[in-house]
Amino acid sequence: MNTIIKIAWRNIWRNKRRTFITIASIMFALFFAIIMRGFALGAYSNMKENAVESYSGYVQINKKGYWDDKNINNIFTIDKGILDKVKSTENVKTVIPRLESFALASTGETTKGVAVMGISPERENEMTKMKTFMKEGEFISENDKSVLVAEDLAKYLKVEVNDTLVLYSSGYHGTTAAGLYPIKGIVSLPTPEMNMGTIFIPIKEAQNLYSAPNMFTAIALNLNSVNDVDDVISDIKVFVNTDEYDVLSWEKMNEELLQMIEADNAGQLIMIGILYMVIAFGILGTVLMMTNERLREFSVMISIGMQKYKLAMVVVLELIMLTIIAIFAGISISLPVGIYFYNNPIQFSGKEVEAMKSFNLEPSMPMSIDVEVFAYQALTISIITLVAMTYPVIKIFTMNVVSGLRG
Amino acid sequence: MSVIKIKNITKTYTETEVPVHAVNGVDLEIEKGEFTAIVGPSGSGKTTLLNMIGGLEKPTSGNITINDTEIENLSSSDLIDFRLRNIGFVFQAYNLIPVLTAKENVEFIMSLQNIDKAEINKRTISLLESVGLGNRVNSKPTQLSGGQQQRVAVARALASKPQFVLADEPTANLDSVSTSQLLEIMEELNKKENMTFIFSTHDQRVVDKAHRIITIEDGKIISDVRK
Ligand SMILES: Nc1ncnc2c1ncn2[C@@H]1O[C@H](COP(=O)(O)OP(=O)(O)OP(=O)(O)O)[C@@H](O)[C@H]1O
Ligand SMILES: [Mg+2]
Repeated sequence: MNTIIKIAWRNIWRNKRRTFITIASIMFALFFAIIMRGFALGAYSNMKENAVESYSGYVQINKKGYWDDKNINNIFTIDKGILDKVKSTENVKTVIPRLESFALASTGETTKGVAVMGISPERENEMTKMKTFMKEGEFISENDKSVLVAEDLAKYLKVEVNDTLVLYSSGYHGTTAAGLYPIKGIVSLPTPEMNMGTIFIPIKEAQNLYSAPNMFTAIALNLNSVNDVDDVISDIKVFVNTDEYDVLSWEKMNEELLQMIEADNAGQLIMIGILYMVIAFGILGTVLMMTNERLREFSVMISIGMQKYKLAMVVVLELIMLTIIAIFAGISISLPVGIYFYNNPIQFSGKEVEAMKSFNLEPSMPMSIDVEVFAYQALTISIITLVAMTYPVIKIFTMNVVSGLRG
Repeated sequence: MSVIKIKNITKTYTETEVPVHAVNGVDLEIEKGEFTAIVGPSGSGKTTLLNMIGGLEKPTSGNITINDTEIENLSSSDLIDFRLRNIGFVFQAYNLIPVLTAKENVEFIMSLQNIDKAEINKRTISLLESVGLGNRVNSKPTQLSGGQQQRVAVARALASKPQFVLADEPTANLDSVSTSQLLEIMEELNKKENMTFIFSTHDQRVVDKAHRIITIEDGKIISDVRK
């Protein structure tokens, strides 16, 4: 066995240039694949996280049908006892009540349709970290009768902190909803859409405005981890009447985003597939050359008494060692780059920012350094060499030793 | 006692347009300790005959018995083992495993036989010394001359303690000095260890050293002379 390893190892370095070229091509393919996947997966999880943490939460409880028909009449009250049970469900971190609807916001001169988010400020902040988005003024508290206005909306309405806004809408069951609210602060929201049309108001005030005391459009849940979603949903469904309520997962609430990610992902996998195809032909070429130029040598070894399986082991070991070296090289050049971009996400500037914002994307590109990113690429290369390996092995078992010797 | 008994073997290649009768009815016995040259013009069937004796190629008809084993009945993997234990091979050129040193090439065949380390070591050194390469044990084949490579090949052929050594034109690529050196070494091993050698050659000086000269033409033995 030692001899076999020794022969295999030395064979790798027999044609140094070819070995280096092979290793380098695998290494760069791995590098590109890992970096590409790293950015993509990083971006995807960032988008999901944003969607979840800035709005949907991991799980939401709604009145049945609300998600498809977001209407002020589709709201609900919930039994305090049930709400307590939801709160004490395992892995539920925060329970976030909301009452949201639409209204016309007016300053007298300018009027605009806006989303009115009735929130429980402190709890909302626990999940969305809203306080970090504060631009001017102060954050609202539970019993305030004032509002927060999104930055671009404030500009559009030409209002500042301490100015007063009129909100006008229709309330629960067709009542008239109207109110006068001083602006307590201006918030800068991550997506342009939200930034142009959102007003936050303490939930009690929202319930007053819409004549919907103790009613909610949603109870959003923040969980310890995305992995707890399914468990939490099935736990909740035990005591929440599913004829009356929907218990939705973040995936259900972010279907469009997930579809977009899936499409993008598929496109990228095709590109990486093409890259690997090129690499596969390169590896196959090396293996073909390496096999065919050694047929005489193989014939001599078999002639003098080396069993074919042992000879096959030499060649297989050569390819395994070559692959391991190449994978190791590929990972060791991409890991530092990955770690760097993980810690220092690329920040876009100038025009790109607007472009990205208009797609509801954050203008920064974080990198995923998940083991998965590396493992999949290493696995792909391994499968390619495994396939390439069959050529010399079959050749060794089927070759004609005599013609190899005459060769 | 004969080591090799060949009864009426033929080898016909049929893949060609006209069938080639490369070996055409050969009967032959080789005794232990013989030093035999097989001569004949190019294309007369020397290589084909040696390949069949060495179990590298199966005869079209007839049979070959080596020490009571009819080799045509062995499976291909048993045949490889049989060659390992019974036959030493020296080919015309590029005999050695290029990535192994002279010493490792000789050791290689014994490690295939699972001989223990100490024994391998002792035998390797003494064999390389007996072919005059005691001072080149750590050289790679590319660092050795053609003649030196052939001597390592002879040492390797003997390492497995075979029944006989087959050498197909072992001196074809060598100059006259290396040729006579190699022949002397083979003769010496033949005398000292009573090793049986069968070699083919075109070279009259090599023929002159042989103790038995078998001449073939068109796949048939036309003369068999013992000196
Ligand atoms: N695989 C094969 N297919 C067809 N014909 C073959 C094959 N191998 C050898 N021959 C033919 O068999 C005959 C004997 O060949 P062989 O190589 O045994 O001759 P040789 O005496 O060793 O010649 P040389 O002195 O040139 O080495 C030749 O006519 C050769 O062309
Ligand atoms: Mg020949």
